[in-house]
Amino acid sequence: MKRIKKSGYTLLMNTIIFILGFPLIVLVIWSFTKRWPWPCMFPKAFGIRSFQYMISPGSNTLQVLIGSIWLSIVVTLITLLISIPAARALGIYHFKGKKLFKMAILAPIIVPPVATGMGIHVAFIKMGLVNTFMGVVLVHLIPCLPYGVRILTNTFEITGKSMEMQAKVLGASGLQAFFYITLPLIAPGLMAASSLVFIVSFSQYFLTFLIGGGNVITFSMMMFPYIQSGDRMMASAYSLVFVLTIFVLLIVMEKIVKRYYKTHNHFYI
Amino acid sequence: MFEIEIKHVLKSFDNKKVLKDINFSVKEGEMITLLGPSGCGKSTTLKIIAGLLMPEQGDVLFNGRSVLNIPVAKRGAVIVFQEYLLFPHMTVEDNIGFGLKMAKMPKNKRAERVKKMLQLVQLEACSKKLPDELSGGQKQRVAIARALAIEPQVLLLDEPFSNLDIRLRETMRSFICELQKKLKITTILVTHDKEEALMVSDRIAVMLDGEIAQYSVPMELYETPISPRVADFLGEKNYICGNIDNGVFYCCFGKYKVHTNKQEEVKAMIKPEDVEMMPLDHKRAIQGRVKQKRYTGDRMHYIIISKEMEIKCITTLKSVFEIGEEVSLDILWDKVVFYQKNK
Repeated sequence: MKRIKKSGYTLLMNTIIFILGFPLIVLVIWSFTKRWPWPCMFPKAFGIRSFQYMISPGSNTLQVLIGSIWLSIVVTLITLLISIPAARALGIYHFKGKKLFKMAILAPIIVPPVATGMGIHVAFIKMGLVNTFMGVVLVHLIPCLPYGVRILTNTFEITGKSMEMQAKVLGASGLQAFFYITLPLIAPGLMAASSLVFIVSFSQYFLTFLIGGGNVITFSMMMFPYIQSGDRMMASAYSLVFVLTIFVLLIVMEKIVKRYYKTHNHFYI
Repeated sequence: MFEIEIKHVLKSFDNKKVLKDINFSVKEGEMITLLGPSGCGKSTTLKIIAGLLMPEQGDVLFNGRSVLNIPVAKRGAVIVFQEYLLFPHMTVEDNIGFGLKMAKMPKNKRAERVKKMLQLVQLEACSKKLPDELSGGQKQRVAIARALAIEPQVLLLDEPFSNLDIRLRETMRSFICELQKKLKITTILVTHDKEEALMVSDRIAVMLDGEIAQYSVPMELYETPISPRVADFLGEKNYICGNIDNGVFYCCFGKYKVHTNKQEEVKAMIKPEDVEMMPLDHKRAIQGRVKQKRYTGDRMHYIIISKEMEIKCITTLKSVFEIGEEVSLDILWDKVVFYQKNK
């Protein structure tokens, strides 16, 4: 009985991995495909045109990629900076209208950015924020904040304030209690929030396009024309780099956090 | 060491009065207990003393000086919480040294003090372990060591033993008592366990519904509770109503000479252990029939029906009676406490 259960579990896991991984395999194949006419099961000819173009100095791919990562890192940091105090308030304190705040924080996810984007555009023109890096960072905060605040709110709800209280009783100031006790305790939540926020920012297309006005170019903007024009080889290659970038960054981030704080599974006590 | 005084402290949460005019004082080096059922405001009082909560009215004095404006970190009062709250990402050593680090004590001095503390709580072997790897009793001892490391003037213990199993509780209790006597730290213990309170404290403050109902030494508290509510909190009691006239108590069981200056209608509180049971003897005034008996190991708890009243009785196991058996009862009248009937 146990063995059947176990093999059933393995089968399920393998299926899930296959379903998630298969599109990636197709992506890899497409990025090396020169010709793949219709009824054929497999590509007729392979090539490395896409990658050649990508590393050619004229394409600016690497520059845009680095710029894009930089932009998303800045967005992530600012989001966390705003989210930590907000989430702390929502997770620990009791005040009137708390539930309303919790709902309202999700508004940017519920209301489509297209609806608000136009208004923001006009306002940003007046403030001179259009076509600037800062403007794009600001507008990215809108879809990112809900994720940051919500994830960290849950984290703070679990952590509570008792540990901080204990630290203060032992003579720690508010800042000391935060840096020595709270920050390490919420590290796993910070990890989760920052990865998600990074991904959200990194994949923004519409808002970047609107506010950046072609002046600030991100990686997703670069790959969009290829997807639109049907150049599957290029589009696949760019998508692959897109996925790998996020993947590598997440791993690096987790390693850094783990090294700083021995995240000993103590979070979910 | 500090002397603590709590004066007219009031506190409410969401319009619900949790503390209604709390007054008491603790002498230097004394160990007192705040005893009360859960939700009576004991922990709130403790947090106000530590500075984690602000009272709405009233004052907290250490050595005669108000400390309300002194922040938690500088007050010199440390709480040890029920859940120990060891910092999970720090080793035992770092946990104990945390307060010293916050006080910016140099590293070598800190290490020395931590070592001393580890010896004090007999945990030298665990210095490099994480809190996860410790047992309940060990965690408790680390929490105590961490609190004592910063040499507090006031030690506040918030139900520190209630998460431990009974035998460990016993050991930790005497351990902390000895430590307190040795270091002479002014200590306030909060508990709902009456035996614990009676065993460890110099004085006990019984808290009921946000008020201090009685504040006295353990024996006085148990022998002469100030009101039926306090008496009931300390254990099940028998009450007999009657009249007192010129030092004689008249009730349904007859008349008895008593020492009290109460007059007229009174309620006599008789502790179950002050009722003696013996085989049926018609010369005795009170006779009854055993209705129920419960065996607790060292004692036997009986309920006896007499004149349609249930009388509780706790005896040793020297003589055992059966259910349904007719018995005679003797009440130790000089131990009875009288209350005015309307109380």
